[in-house]
Amino acid sequence: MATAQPDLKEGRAFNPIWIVPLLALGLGIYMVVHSFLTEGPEITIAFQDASGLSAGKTKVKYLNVEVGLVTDVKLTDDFEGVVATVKMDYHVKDLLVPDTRFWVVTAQVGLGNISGLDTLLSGAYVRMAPGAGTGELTRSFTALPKPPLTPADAPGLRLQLVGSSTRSVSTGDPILYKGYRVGRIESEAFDIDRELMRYEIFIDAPFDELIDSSVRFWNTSGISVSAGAEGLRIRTGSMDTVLLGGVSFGHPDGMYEGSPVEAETQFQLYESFEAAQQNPFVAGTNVVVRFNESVKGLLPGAPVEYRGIRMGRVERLMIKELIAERNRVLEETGKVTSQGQPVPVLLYIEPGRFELPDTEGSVELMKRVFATGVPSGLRASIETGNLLTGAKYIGFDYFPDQADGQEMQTWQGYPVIPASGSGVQQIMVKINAILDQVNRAPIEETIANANTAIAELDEVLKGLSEMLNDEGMQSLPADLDATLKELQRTLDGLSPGSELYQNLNASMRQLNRTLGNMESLTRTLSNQPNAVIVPAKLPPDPQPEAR
Amino acid sequence: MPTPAAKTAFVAALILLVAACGSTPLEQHYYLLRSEAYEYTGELKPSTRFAMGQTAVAPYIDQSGLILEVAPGEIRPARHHQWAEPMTGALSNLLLLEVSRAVEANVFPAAASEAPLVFNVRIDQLHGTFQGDALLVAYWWIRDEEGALTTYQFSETRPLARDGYAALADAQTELLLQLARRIGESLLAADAAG
Repeated sequence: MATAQPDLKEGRAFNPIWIVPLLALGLGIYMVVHSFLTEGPEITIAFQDASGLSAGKTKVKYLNVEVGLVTDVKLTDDFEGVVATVKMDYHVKDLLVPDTRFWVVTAQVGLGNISGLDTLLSGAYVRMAPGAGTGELTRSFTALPKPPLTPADAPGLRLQLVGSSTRSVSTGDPILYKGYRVGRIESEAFDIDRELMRYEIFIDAPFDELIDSSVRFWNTSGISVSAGAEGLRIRTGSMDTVLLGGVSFGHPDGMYEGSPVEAETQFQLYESFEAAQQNPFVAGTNVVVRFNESVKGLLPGAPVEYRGIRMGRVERLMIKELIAERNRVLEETGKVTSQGQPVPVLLYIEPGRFELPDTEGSVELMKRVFATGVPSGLRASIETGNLLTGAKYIGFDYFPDQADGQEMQTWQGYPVIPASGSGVQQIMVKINAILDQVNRAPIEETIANANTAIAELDEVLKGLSEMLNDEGMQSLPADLDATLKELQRTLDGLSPGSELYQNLNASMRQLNRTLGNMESLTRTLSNQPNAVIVPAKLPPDPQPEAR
Repeated sequence: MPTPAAKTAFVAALILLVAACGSTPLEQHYYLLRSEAYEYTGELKPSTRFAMGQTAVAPYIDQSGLILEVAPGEIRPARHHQWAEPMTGALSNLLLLEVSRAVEANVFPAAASEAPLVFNVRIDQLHGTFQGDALLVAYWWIRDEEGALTTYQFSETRPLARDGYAALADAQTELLLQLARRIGESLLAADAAG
């Protein structure tokens, strides 16, 4: 039996059956490469907590378009927060720059606004706000605790406000100009060191052009009621600012237009419009006056005036510095002066009150004025502003008699304006000077001279008395009376009923007639010049005729 | 020595001059502005209520010749017919007497009286018109004790009774007498009202 032999045939080099796995392999490689090349970046976002975040469900949106998905949520290593891992789409990778911001959008219902209601049905999501800058791809972000109120690239001006009170002003409140909303408060923070509230505000373009260094911001929240000499004044903003709060700005009355300001410039937030009007100036400088008299009635905020023109205010009495100075002297010398130290008073001088620009340049000008004025007699004194309340103020003026030419000194780093006595004190000084002169006067000699003068006066009076008792002088009134009577008789002779008057009247009539005849003669001669020789040939008069 | 011709000329001139002087001038007539005199002799009775102030006349009236209007707006003072005395004084005297007659008391000038009611008169027109009338236009005003003024006007014409200036003088006198009566009536009325 023959062994069957396989019929070997020369096979083909490539079996088509391999096309399928090869295609699968190529497709797999393509998919891997494509996936690698188009895969979006994976980023991490740090949140304060995981409210609204759910791995595999929470979406990341930009302009309401899904651009990513939260794939994992886990606690941070220090357990202080959570970190969400987000798979972002490939085409938004260029938006992931360092200042790109993320925050969770949930439904919010507040007094000022209602937002995110759509998340009640769809669930919370993470919103992305691309940064304005450019840079390398960033993969780690920290989410904002609250949604930002202004887009990062919004045109406008971002400023800072500093105020001493948080009354009715909070994040999201409007910034108003003449009642029109032109911006908003973006954030608020309390500065513990300075015990001040700091607000970040944003003024939308084009209203940012209204901002210059002279504008002042004040709180328009609530209702301001003030009573003054002109009656009761109630000032309110719009209804939403009354209920929700707000900040207004503008130029105080009489304030010069300021210079343009840069972003993040800091302004003071005044409590009210009145407060902004009363103390609108920001540029100023401190000076010290050391008084050797009572400062009773001199309170912080008291006016500082130059010849009646307000130029600043009393800031405080520098008691703390005074004690420190005393202790220092005590330590250095082992003794203190027994006459007592003058009381230093810190003043705040505002050049703007002198209608100078409210700038540091004006402050420097005021400093130069003080430096040159003190040697010429510029002095400060405590004056009484109100006799009823005893309130005092500080008056600046020049006293030429005190111009000693000495340069201006400093105390505790502040320029010192020398003190002069108050008005009452100066009067006392003058009274003392007068008394001194009186004391120096030769009283006894003066009295002796006066006695001599009195004796001479007595002699004169005696002579006068003798003259009056003289017979001639005694008859003088009778003579005078007779003279007056004679004068009266003379005047009676000229009265209308007197003979002289009658004669005069008759003469005047005669004169009138003569003048009348003269007039007639003149007229006749004018008509007939030879009438002097030849009688005038007067025509007969026209005859009146009866009807 | 003058020549015979010169002598002849001188004698001729002298004759001519004498002849001229010898011509007869027109006759002059003078008229008295008076009312009819009434007989009374005795003490006068001064008025304690009325006194006469000023009497003013328009300048064209205050002349000796009687005035005649020869055409509308044109007057001519007569040269041969004249008032016997100045017009201002004559008018004042006439009014004083006739007002006294009207108020039945002797009114004196205010300068010589302390009467409370004083009247002043202004004669604005007094002449003969070319239509054959005499015209008188006058105003008077009475000042009472408190200084208040009451003013009146008189404007009347009176036809001439005949031709000639004598008739004109008569007519003007009659008009002035009418005026005096009106003044007297107004004074009595003012006194009664006061």
